[in-house]
Amino acid sequence: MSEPKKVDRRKFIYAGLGAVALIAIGAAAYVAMNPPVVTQTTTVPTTSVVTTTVPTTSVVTTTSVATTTVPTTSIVTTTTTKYVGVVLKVPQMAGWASQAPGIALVNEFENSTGIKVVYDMIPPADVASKEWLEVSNRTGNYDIVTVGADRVHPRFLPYCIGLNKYIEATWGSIKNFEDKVFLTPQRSAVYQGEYRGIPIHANVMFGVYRKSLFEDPKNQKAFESTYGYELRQPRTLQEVEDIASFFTKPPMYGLTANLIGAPAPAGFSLFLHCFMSAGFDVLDKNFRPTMKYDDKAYEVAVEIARWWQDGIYKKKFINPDAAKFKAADMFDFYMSGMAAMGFGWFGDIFGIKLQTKDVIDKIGESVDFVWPSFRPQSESGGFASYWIHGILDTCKNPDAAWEYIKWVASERYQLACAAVQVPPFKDLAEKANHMPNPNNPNIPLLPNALYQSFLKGARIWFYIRELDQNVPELCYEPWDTALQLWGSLMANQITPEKLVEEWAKAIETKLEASGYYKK
Amino acid sequence: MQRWELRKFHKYSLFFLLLSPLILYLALFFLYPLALLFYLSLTKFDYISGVRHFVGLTNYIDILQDPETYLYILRTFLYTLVVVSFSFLLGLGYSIFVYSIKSRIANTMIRMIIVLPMLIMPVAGAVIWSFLLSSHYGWINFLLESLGFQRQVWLLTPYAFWWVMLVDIWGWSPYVFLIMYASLQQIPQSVLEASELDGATSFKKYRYIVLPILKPLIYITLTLKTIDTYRAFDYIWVMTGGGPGRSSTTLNIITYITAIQLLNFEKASAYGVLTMLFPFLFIVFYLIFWKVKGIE
Repeated sequence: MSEPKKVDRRKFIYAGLGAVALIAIGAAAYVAMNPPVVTQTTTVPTTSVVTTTVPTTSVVTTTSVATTTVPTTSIVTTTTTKYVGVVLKVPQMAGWASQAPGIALVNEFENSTGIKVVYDMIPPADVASKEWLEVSNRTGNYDIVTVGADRVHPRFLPYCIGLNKYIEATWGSIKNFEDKVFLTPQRSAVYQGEYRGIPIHANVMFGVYRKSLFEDPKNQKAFESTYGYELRQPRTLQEVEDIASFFTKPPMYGLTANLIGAPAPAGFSLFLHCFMSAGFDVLDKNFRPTMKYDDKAYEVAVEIARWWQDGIYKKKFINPDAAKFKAADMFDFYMSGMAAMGFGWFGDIFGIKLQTKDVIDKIGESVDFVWPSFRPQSESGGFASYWIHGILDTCKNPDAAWEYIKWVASERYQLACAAVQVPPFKDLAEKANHMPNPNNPNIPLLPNALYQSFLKGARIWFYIRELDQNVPELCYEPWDTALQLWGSLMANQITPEKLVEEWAKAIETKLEASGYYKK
Repeated sequence: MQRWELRKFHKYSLFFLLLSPLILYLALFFLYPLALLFYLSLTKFDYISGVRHFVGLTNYIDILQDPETYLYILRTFLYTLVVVSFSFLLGLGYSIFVYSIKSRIANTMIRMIIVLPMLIMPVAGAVIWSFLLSSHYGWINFLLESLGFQRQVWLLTPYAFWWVMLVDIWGWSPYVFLIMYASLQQIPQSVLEASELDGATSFKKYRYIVLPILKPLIYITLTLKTIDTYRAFDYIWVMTGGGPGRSSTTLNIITYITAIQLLNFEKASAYGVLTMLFPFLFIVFYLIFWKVKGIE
């Protein structure tokens, strides 16, 4: 009779550990496939007042907002069962704070129309390329296109259907529509004489500062004794520099900004904002780069580039990491309390995140301000970012797609997002600027700095005011060259003069190749 | 048909029938994309009219006339040379060191520590290192400052490219270690013991016995590592994005930037063909070299 087999203790332990590991992996996989549902609460401002005079309740502002009567002229979306069963596929930028409050309301749209909206949330770096691949190959995977008008949308327009008939049906006429939208965004969505896109989002860069630091009596006394004037919201660039230098005591810095070069556009957008808010366009009426053919434009362009470069490397009032900061990095840095002021795309967080109790407990209240112009005497609104929705020619139900776009352009959606973006429609923007922010009733729903910039004429960067014309060719090679040059400037590898001259050269090369002129 | 021809036909038809899934796979996932790549590189797409035009070698002329292209090529070779050399030396060094450890527990622990970087996804590793090298948050700057040096935004300095290479070496030398260590364990102990009896020092043992035995595997490891490193993308893209400016842009990076950021797929295809050219030429010379050596 053979002896009973002895159990190998080591193998038994290994088998047990293996079983536990398998169970753990299975549990992790289950949780990954069934993540806990996060309830997102969106505070939607009420709009029960139709026609009324609303007093201003802004905290600090460079210009006062007058009392005014705010008529409601927005689109009214109606309940219908015409589109029951229709599914719309809409690409969206993942993690986009500006659109998140509106997207959170999509159930309302679905319930009232029967249309099912399926969002494809695309990481920010891949939005343009992914949409372009789908659109240019006419895959039909999207019904609506969501593109940024500041640099890529011109190539999408030929693939979108004309919207004039829809615009006329909704707003009464093309002129009515044009009167309602902030001027320059709309024109760049015109292709072969017809609108191919409707603006759904607008934004501009502005400054913020920490109120508690500025109102601290010790800081006020020390600042005044050093600089000879009171510590307050800066009105000039010299004041920005003085205040930033005053607060710079590493690891804390006086100023942070989103200054990254390629592959992100943030830093160069900032340069353009400063250039355009000094009153200059990128091109003159002969389609030549102003920074090459206009001495004043050249001078201010070099000055802007030098100001930001020196701010990091010579005067050191900007945190060095800012040269690699995208907007989110800048937000994190500012909200960690490591900067007294910030400049950039604060529209994404000012109205919501910066008003939350956690952030206010940590860094105090923040105040928004229009960034001082490099040329106050010719000041204008600066670089406007805006996005459009268009209906692709592969969409099987364009009428349903239009219902969706109408809903996104409606007061309900736009006011839901107004704390974190500018509604591209003038009446809604004005209304939002007169309503209290539900997260902080002391400030308006639409931050003053954002609204004032649009009133001053924040515009598309490839728009020539003198000719009332857009030059979308600038969105291609000149844009990429600019990002690379800006990255080199921020890495202290090139001089401001080289940035300006090389960029002007790239613009001329592209426009000459595109037939605008011969060199 | 003659009977023997029919038999031949039947024999080879079965052969191709059984091979057809592989042929189909190669055709769909290799030949077709390659053909499309070549085709795209010879065209230009007009975004306004939505029409693709045949432009011949214009895209190639454009990229070869750009002086930056030669820098991309140079950086690609530099990156490959440095990373492969140091990964190999470090991996081999790890394997010899671990092989010499007699204690089983210590051997296991050290092997685990050495292999750890390879277990971290390259993108995650690149993000970790980006934070480590950050001027404000980074431990490296914290240590340097405590030693009296100034903080640096390392990934914005001219050293950014070298830091990326260092991180790649950190991430992939465990791969070399695993292969070399496994090979070392296959060496017959009797040979090593005999050499010790003959009075060979450790250095001589490794120089005249171990390394010659490992030579074939060293060639294979170097070849695999070279192919892999030539295609490097993740560490570079996450840590520097090819920057600052273009100072860490290699052929792979510029291909990606041209395709995904500029949305110029035609020019990117030309870069892709150029990227493929060098390994292709290397393989041709390699085969010729071995053929000539074989004849001799």
